[in-house]
Amino acid sequence: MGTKKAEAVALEASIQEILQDYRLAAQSRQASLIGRREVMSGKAKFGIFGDGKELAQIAMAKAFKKGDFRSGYYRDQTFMFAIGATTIQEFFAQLYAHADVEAEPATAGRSMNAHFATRSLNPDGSWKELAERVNSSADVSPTGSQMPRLVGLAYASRLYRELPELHAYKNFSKNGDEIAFGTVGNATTAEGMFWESINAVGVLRAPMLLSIWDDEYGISVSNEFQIVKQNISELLRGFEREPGSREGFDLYLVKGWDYPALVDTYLRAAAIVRSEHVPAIIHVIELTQPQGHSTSGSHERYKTKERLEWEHEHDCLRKFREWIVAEGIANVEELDQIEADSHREVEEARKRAWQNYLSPIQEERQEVIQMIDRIAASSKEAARLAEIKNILRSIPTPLRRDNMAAVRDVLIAVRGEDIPEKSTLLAWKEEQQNLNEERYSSHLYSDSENSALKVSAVEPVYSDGSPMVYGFDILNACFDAALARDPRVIAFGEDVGRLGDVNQGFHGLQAKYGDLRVSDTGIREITIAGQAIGMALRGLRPIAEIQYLDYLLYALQILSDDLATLHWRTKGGQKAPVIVRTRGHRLEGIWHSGSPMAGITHLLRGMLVLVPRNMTQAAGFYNTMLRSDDPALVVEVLNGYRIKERLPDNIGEFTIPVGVPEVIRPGDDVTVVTYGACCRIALEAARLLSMVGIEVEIVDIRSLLPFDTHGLILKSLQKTSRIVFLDEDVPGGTTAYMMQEVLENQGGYPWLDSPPVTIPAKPHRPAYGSDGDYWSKPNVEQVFETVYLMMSEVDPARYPDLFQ
Amino acid sequence: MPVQVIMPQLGESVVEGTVSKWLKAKGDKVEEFEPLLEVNTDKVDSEIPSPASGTILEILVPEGTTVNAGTLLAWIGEEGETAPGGNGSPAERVAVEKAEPVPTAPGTASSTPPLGRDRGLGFISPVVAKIASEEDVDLSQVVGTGQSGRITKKDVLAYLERRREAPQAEGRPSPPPTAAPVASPPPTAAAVPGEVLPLSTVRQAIADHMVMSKRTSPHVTTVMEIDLSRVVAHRQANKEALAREGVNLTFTAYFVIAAVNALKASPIVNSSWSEAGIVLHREINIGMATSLGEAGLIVPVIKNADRLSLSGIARAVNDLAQRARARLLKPDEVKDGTFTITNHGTSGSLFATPIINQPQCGILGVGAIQKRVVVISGENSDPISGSFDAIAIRPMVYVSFTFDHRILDGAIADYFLGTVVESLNNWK
Repeated sequence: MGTKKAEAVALEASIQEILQDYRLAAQSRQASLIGRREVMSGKAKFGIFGDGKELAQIAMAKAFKKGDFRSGYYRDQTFMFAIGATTIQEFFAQLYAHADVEAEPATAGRSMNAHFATRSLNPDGSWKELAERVNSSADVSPTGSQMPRLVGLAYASRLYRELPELHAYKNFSKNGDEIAFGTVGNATTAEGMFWESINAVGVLRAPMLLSIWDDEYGISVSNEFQIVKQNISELLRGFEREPGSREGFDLYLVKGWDYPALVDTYLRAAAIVRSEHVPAIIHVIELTQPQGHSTSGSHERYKTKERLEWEHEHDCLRKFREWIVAEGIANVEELDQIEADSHREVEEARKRAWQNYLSPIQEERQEVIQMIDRIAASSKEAARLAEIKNILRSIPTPLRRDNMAAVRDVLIAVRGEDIPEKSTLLAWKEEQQNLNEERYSSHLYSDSENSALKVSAVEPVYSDGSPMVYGFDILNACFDAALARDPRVIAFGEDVGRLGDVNQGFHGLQAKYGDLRVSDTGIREITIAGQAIGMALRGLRPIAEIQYLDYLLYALQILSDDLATLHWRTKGGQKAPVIVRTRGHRLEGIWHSGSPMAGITHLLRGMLVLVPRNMTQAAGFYNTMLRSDDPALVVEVLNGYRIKERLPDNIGEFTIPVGVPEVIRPGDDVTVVTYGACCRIALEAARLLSMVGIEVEIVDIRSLLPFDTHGLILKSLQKTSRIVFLDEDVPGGTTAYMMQEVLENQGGYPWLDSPPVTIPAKPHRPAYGSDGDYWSKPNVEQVFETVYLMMSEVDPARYPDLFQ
Repeated sequence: MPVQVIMPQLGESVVEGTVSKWLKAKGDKVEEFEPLLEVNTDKVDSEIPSPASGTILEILVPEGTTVNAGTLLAWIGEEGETAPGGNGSPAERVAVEKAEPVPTAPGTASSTPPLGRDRGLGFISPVVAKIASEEDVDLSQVVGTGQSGRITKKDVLAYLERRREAPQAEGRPSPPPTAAPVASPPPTAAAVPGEVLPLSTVRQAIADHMVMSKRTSPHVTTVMEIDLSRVVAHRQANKEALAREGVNLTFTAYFVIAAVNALKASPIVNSSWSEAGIVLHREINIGMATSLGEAGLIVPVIKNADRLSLSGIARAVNDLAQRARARLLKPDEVKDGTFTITNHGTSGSLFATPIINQPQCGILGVGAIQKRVVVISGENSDPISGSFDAIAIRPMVYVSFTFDHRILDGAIADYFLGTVVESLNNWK
């Protein structure tokens, strides 16, 4: 017995540490069991747990150090407990959807349970000292979506180590020693994002340590239907590095119930990743899932009896317990005592979480009941009010919506009655509306000092010597200034490095700033976006290029699910000020001329969507965004790179405010609202219309998100009372969005004297060639005719019908 | 026939290129599609194939020159042929005029004859509705110049402009809640020779409103008389004091007070007819018909008259009347009246049957104050009967109350008018 204890000590884990691990594993298991019970008893809506995966995560936590980052998924509760980033009470607070950032720091009740995150930001939006903290990026539910950002989280360490100009940023990194720990389920390895990310990490030689939790199922579907040969390690062998080489990965295979092997594997693997920046993958097999996938199912329905028995036998807790007893580290009674204590501790934590969640809602209910009583005292509808009150009082665990619904029912019941107490109820209702607006809808965008909306406008300065240059030269000068100004600015994308992007915006800048500041990537839009997200989470200022707007669709899922929701879903706990640069609207062919801006705009609420009409405008937006902490998509106008513009003298300094349209041509008759490449179409049509006596006012909205925060379009409409929305999106696309903004949100409707009109492209993609373009997208003649006919209806004497 | 060699557009959105190298010289033979020259742009380097077989007749753009796409670079033709027009030939496509200027002559569009209002107002755009509501415009008065006679924003603004320029007697009370009135066509007037006075906007508006009112409600008029002795005495006693405060205490003020008292006693009179039911107005807003002489008539409104004292009413009456005559009333000072008083006695009328100011329920007509011989009665002076009758000279006035018989019946109307009489007979 004594010798076995000695062996355990040789594992570099003291007996005390082993028993502490057992206690943590037991607590985590209890959290899973009790969590499922809570859902099944109706106190929470949904539960997903990490039972069966406790041991591997405890081992992983031993290798995790301050400054490191996790990018994982909803099975990682034990790991989060082990690194001290989440408490069991917080775990339950999230299960109950406790909408309070103190009680539930990961998402303030906005995300379902087991969606973990640490808070990188102070309440004012400034960065905490990440290098001194344990960090976890914020989980999302779509499987595999933790992978793209993992690329950037890992790659950031390499940049912080290898770029001398970044060594000063010690709050983000200490010599690039940080590992990005990834976790992923076996079934997710069937997804494209997994493979793209693995390849990208390998190419980038980024210090990632990825764990694959393999319990042989993806909900009900076994590995037979997921992965060739049912073995991801075998498939990954081609990525394995040759001895002595730095190309590729270290691969490890370890059983999820084998405590000493797990601890040994993680410590060994992490040491190499950290020092050598060679990524590693640990395939953890023979894991189980004692309670099945989630509370929405029962695995007894799809797992065979044999499988269930096997899982019971190989449950990592059971195996750990057997090992501890066999090694003589503790006896059965001692372990029973630990389990009993764990159960009690978890129940106590759960109870505190539940009370903290429920008490304020019950107090609010009491307030509502008292207000109802006071109103009932002088109402004709006392009986109905008593009924409302009794229904509310009889709800065992009220929700805030129950309280609000009762208040609204009361207001309906006593409508028309003149009861002074009603004003108290109305005040309460308004106060709660505001509180819940804050609870559920705040922080979609940055509200820090660095919000894009707060970046002050700096006008471009021109002098006699300001040269006329190509559009791409304007951008080139802007990016040159940005790279020189801020070492955290890192630009990358397909053809961005050596070629300097396909339109030369970065021409010569790799040679000037080095291949880590201005880099080529493989053809991998999803992980270009993910790389940017991960880097930005670690304090860098990535400019990620998607070569054409049409290819943004590859990356749209991750931008929408991860980046656009990040600040909101952590209630201001994390930010990733990414700039996604792309070019679009008008070129040639089906997949180089798209402008699906409504689809993009609607999926990217939470990001800024900027649509500059020329390269000076684009440069101004880049300057604005690099001074802000909001993420943005900037769509440059494809056919504008070779149009000459005047280079501002302050190319690196001037900024263009977001959400502020610009009237690019004044006129009194009709307002034409447009953006991007269509500005040129509108200007040309306006020139022709002027020849027949119609003066069009053209408003370039410049940013789709945010949209005209000053109501400037309304001012134009108040003057003209006629409005046309012009763009290259599908019918009912962005033109409809703009129309809703102006007519509904800005209150433009009562100012209309002619029916509002949209001029979009055709519902199909643009056909190839100049004629394909002409008949697919709005053209000058079409804008002319539309505006002319509008004026002809108003004043047929002056503007006789064109077609009679 | 010589063939042009044109600078091609080398890919999307490239507008210019540089001739980097000619692969053939003048006089060389060239086959169709054989590389002829090299061109580079900021994006690509490319060989340009010959568009035809033949001999290079002329090279117009030397190496190293950057030209726009579409520029003529060279001519190819038969050996011995000459290039047409030398290098002065304009090969660049001339920008095609995209649209013929459309004539803007203001043709009296025979295709769009002005349509009468009998087809309804047509589509009223949101902004026209908004302006009409804010400026109290009866849209049936506005001539539409849009397609099919639609009233456009321009039309309603032009109407407002004309209204501002015209004598300001447009201050009609709120238009009726019912559909816009249709002015009946004038009877053919040409039978008797004479002159036609063109209708001013105000004249037309008054005419329409009066016709509409008569058509809208069944008018009944009841008449009573008042002994104003106490009122005269009261006025005499207070006139000077008020005059020192700049207030002219008119008899009208007393009638307003009396009307307010009576309206409070009979709230049904402070009302309007609607299809849904009789609308009782919460506010008591008294309109005061004010003559502008030839320019017509206007009805400024004393809002919430029930909150004003006699001197307050007098002050309001002075102010509104003065500003009405000076055309300085604001649009909302002629709106929202709930009851009207017309003081036709000022022009000598003893009593009259005024027309209701729609959509109100009634109008009080005040005749001229005359000293008349009347029989008065008293008590306790005659030891036999305990009462006496005597002939006296008193300042008397006839008041008429014209009311909407849909809302009121005679007895209620008389009670109302009786209340007016009582409060003035017994003024305290």
